[in-house]
Amino acid sequence: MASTIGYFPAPGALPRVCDPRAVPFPPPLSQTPPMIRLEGVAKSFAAGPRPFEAVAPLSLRVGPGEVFGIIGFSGAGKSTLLRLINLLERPTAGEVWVGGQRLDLLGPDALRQARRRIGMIFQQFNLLHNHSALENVCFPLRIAGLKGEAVAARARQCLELVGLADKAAQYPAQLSGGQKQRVAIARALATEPQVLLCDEPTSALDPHTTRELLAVLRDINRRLGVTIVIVSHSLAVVRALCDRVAVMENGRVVEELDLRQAEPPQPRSDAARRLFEAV
Amino acid sequence: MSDSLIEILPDLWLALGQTALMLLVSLAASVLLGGPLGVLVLLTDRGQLLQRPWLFAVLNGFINVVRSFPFVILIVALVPLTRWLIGSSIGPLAAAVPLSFAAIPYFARLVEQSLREVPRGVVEAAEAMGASVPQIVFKVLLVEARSGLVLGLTVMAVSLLSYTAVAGVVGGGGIGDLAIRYGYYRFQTNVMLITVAILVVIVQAIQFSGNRIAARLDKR
Repeated sequence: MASTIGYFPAPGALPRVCDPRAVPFPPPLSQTPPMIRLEGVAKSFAAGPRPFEAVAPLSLRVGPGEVFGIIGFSGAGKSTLLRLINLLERPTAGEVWVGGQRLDLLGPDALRQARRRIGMIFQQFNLLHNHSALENVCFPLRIAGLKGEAVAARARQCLELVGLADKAAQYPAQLSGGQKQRVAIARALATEPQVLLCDEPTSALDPHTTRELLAVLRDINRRLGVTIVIVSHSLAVVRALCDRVAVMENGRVVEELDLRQAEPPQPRSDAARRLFEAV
Repeated sequence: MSDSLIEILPDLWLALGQTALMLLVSLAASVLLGGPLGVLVLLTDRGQLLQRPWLFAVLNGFINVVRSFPFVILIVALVPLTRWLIGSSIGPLAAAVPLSFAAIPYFARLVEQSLREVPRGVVEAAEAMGASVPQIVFKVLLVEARSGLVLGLTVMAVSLLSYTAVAGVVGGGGIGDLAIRYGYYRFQTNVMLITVAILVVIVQAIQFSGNRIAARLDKR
């Protein structure tokens, strides 16, 4: 696969930190340019006379290699916010930047190219049921136009990465929930994305499997330097994995907490306090 | 009984051939034209990948209108089209025209229904991976719905088989026509029983193989 858009490195090249030359205007605010930058993004849905505002205008930055959590109670707008990053939801206002590229202005073809650099996993796994684990991982490579031996080889490599090399020939129906999610992770990583979006990835799993899966995600973050954004309603998940977390309520980010500090975070907002107390 | 049977044996072979011809032509037409129509009607519906409300209304309306016609009336109504296409309005090939015309929207509806059952999330995952609409259709929707599509085709093949009997009206021939002409009009109960028995066997065979193939294709 040729490197199709200027900014993104060719797969296999794997420079996992942002190339500062590629960062467009405006100049970065911090030392490292953000991998994901949301500027005043908002999403409202037409519902009756007054549109429903799922995400109120907000701005967010996630640095390269960071693990960023979005937490909140049901209906807070977390998933919508996540889906704005790869434009599964089109923002009604604002700018979406990923890897130095503004996505919300791209045409359909360019957006498809850009999406190949953003992996995504889901609560319900969303695997192709009529495809084996290996074929599922081959899928994103095939739709990117890759052919031949290299596809299966790369897919095997990804299954190995999530510890499922021996399940390559199994169909999703023959796998456990945790295994299905690991296949989904392998699939999301196949095209060597810089960003992995996780939409409630552990909500359909039991606590033990959840811990295993979080270990896989952490491992991927450390070994590949992939930037991870994870949506969850579980503080335990966010605490175990994230460097920083945004607390959402009614479509707004009410608080951003840094979990890398030694002392426990001191939530100020009501929503955050309720989440932290619920543990 | 054996006399009347031997007497109609040549007719029986001919009728089998005619039935096979009508069935194959209309099945091919339904897959080649009804399949894409079904995909298109799904994709243009509200909330789908190619959302086009007016096009959806036109396609959906067309499917419903054609499906409303009683088959005998469709045969007569399509005589001009049949003449134009085949050069004649009688015979099995001529009967295949209205048969195909009925089969196309029928299969389109079955395809649309099968594809609707593919979970939204699976399509979304493909979108998130950067799949184009044709890729989603051919590599996600049709693959995930394939066992349902085979079952739909099976149901339709059985319906078309019974439609071929009606096609006797325009000299289409076929097994069902034989049952009507000999068994019903000439009071040859034996012949009628034999032909009906043959139809039963054919239906069983179609359904059995359809189920087998569908089960083999289904990995869910």
